[in-house]
Amino acid sequence: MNIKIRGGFNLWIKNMILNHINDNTRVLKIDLSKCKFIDSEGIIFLHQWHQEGKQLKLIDPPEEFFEILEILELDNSWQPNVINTNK
Amino acid sequence: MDIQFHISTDEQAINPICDFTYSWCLNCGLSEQEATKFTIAVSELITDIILFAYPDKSQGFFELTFRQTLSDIELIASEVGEPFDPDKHRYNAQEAIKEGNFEGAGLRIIRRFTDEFLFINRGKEGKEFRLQKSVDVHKIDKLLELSRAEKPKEPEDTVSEISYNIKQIVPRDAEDIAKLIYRTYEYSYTKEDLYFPKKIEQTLAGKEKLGVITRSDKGEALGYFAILKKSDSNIAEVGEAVVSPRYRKKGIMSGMMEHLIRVAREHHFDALFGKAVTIHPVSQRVNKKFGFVSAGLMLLETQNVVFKGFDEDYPQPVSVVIDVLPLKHATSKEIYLPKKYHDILLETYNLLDIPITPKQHEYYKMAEKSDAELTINYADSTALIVVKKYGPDFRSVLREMLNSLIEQEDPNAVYLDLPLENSATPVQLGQLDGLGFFYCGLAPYFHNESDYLRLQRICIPFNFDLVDVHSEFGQHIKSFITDEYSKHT
Repeated sequence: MNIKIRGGFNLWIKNMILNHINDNTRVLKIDLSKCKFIDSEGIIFLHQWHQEGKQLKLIDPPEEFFEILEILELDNSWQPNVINTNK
Repeated sequence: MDIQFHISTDEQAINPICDFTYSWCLNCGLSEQEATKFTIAVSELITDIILFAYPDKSQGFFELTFRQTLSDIELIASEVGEPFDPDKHRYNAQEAIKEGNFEGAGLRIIRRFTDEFLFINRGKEGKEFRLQKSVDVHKIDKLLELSRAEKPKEPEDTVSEISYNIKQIVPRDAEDIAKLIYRTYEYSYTKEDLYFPKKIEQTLAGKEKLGVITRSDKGEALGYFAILKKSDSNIAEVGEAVVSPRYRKKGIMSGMMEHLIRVAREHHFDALFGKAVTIHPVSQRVNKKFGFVSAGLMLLETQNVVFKGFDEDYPQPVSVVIDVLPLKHATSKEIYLPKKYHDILLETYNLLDIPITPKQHEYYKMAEKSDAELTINYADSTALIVVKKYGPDFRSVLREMLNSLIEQEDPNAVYLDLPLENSATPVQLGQLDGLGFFYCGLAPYFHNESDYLRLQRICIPFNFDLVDVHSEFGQHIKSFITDEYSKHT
């Protein structure tokens, strides 16, 4: 499933995504190029998706995404599959 | 200025609140990156409130207050949901990775993305969370440091005769006011917003500030003096007084003060007050000359004072005398004077010529729960608690607030205002025993045009000998406070 997030990736958006996927969804490709704020709800959702062995591709996550991974000490155990289009 | 929202615990509210927070942060002077981080912290906080404050209700409510000063921004979230202790929700990365338990993750992010995260337990009044971020005034700070080392010299040549006029300030005077401050103090003046013409213009356009400017007949700005309206009462503070060095001792300051008092009367203010520093008696003398009466002494009130010739060696935060000039001929009001402070309060009222009818303690009905408002001054490391209602939980609410504040913020002083027109005050004062509060003074008309007894608690070592109080009654207040404080320690 391809998702493009505008604005914030938070509890509200996480629950919207959960409402749109089902048990058969195995791949999420999330475009974060227009995502202004991502908080722990968004990051925990992505981390858990990855931990469940499902595929995850993130396009252009904001700088704060990596900073939060570091703050939550997830950066060593999880290297998300990131596509950076802004070279 | 405060901006307040009353919000339901609905996750749909998160995005609009975040959008508002981000724009507000930018308007307050944060960079885009800082604004983003503060917004994420706010998102974390409101998410926790939405998820955990009211677990047994389908919907609850919480309040958000966005507060801005020149040097910092503050978000205050308050709710009356389930009790909560942030210290019991520490994030554990190993548990998160291995077990998927991310408890405390949001709080960790809040702490990292703000300068201060404060949790105030208000007992039955609920809980309050405060996120604070300093606004970068780095360049000004550097200049302040520079000015401390290189103070502008007083010009030796003074103008012998000058003809001038004094007029009420308007927004287009903003740039001249900033220049006047600079010419007088370079960058050593304490109120940094006076170096920003746009900030001055905003406060003038918003009518938060009234003042006068003195100009020579050729239009040159020679002096400036302002009154700042208090946001919660019909009184105003005098301050920001400057006269260009070459034009001092020409009666300009006195002329401006006279003009200001006239302006204040025209605007029907109930009173003017000034906070005069006690590292020297100059401001206190000026206030006294114009009929101000010393009504209180606030210890350790400001730590940012930079006055020429006085600043470097002063070893403690500066205390201020509250000088008050009543402007209206009030009819007598009923005041409940606590026995402990009966005489000094009565004497203060008499000197201020504010007619009162002292009432004896009588039956009173308490509110269901106490209501006390806390304001933190991060720049000066002080806090003010204003009691609005007494409930049966008064002592516990106050104790909890105080403990939270002292543990997390380490303030120099905490001030407490008790309403003197509330019949419960004399008895409720006894509830403060053991909490470390002692007398500060009378705060007439200070909140909602009502009179308050101001108490204070100081949290760092203090030397009374360094406090220079000018007026006779001010010295009496100082002596009264010194005695009471020595009994406390």
